[in-house]
Amino acid sequence: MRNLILQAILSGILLGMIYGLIGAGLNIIYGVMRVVNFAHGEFLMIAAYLVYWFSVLYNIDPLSSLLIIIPLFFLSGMIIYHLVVPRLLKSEDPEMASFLTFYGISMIITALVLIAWGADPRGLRFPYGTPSMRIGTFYISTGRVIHFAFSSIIALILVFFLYRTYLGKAIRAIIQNRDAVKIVGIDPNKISSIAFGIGLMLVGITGALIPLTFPGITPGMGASYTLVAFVVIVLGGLGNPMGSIIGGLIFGLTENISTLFLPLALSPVISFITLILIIMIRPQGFLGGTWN
Amino acid sequence: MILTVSNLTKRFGGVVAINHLSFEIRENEILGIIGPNGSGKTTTLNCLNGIYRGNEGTISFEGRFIQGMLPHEISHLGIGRTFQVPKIFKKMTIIENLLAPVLDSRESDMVLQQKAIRLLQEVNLEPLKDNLGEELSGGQQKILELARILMFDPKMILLDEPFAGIHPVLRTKFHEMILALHKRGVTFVLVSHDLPSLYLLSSRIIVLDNGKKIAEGSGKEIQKNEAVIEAYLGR
Repeated sequence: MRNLILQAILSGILLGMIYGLIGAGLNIIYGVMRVVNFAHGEFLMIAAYLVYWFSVLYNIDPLSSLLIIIPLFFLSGMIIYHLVVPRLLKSEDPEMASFLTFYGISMIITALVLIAWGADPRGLRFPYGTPSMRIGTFYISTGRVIHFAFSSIIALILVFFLYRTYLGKAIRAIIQNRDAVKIVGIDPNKISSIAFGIGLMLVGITGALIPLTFPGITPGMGASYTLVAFVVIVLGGLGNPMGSIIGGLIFGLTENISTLFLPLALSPVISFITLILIIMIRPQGFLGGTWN
Repeated sequence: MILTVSNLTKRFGGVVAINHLSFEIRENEILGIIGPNGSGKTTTLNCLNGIYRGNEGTISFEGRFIQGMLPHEISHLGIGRTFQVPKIFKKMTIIENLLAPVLDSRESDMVLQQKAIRLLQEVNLEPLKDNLGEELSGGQQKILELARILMFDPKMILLDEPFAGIHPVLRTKFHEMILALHKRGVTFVLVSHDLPSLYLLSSRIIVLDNGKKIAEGSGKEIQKNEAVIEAYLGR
């Protein structure tokens, strides 16, 4: 039993970091613009399908495909921002307006993907040696380890970016006080478009590596990742990108450990019960209201 | 003239907040703006720094029309602004707050840090430089907001109710800061209900009522002006 628990903890950490990065992208977008990107999971799903496509058509492996996915999603994010978000921000209730708009966008994306690739699940043959590896007495998915390693590197780059670069500091400033940045000479429109690009880039990276972690890619998978992303950002603290990593780890650990004691079907329920409990104890999330 | 406002009108639906307002500000002047609540004082400042765009009229700064420009563009021209409720970055340290306006500066980090430290020493906030903005009192936050503007060496500063709700000692400190900056050549527009402070600091005062300018002159002239007395005390 002890081994099983340790195995579940290890799996939870591996998955948690992945969830955290999904949440970080959503949280940057929400924090900077107060825009609720309800199509976040669908963007992840597009990245997964693109990687599948690159693999089938051009024999490009998921890691190499990041060279295409990263700039593609960053630029797409900036374009989507300029097409949609400034109008939403003029609304009297940007959060509700953006929620409805992006919910519509998520439906459109799902429908288009369904037309393009059909409803059957797609998957990749694992391109990097054996699908599972042994560490001590534990067997773990090689794909999850690769995904975890990449997510950790990206999280570290994100920390460096947010705390050491002009754009990162400007993003932190705008998350804290959108009005104040205007009077200190920072262009909120420019920073917001870059932040949207970064948000989509982060979810694009995760989506590109999802085929290594979970076998089936389907047009309907986006909704569940959107839900995970929202839970993660509420757990970690709304508007705090680094809090999302903590939220992701809590979510991943709860989900995995609960499978040891409860039927598999109940594991998402336990995660949401954890969410409710944490909100009751600390409504602002783990790092909400403390981020500097 | 460093700033010229001509026939500025700002409407919110059917409400005319500023009604064909015209005034000028000379370089290195401290201009006071007073008026009863809802007279258009803050709206005027909001138009000057680009938060609002006037419906009619023009605003020119150093001979350049600035109406329609965005707040960050106007701040790049050298116009700084504070608010009645300070807009600081509460989750950033005091020193980070000061460095925010110069994030994209070409100066080295060390030079900017030194400048920030020097400014904090001038306003007695240097010992708190690593504290978060939210840990300061309301008055200290107002001083921090003013110090933050000074990081980009403004030519003109718009102060909105700088003395509201602050301790008399801090108010005196604020007076000293304004006078010291004035000596260095900075122009001020000062909106306040604190008339003694305004009479002390301003070389000229304009009085607004219902978005219109009803009087203009020195403190002494304003105090004797019947239209002003009527506006404040009612007819």
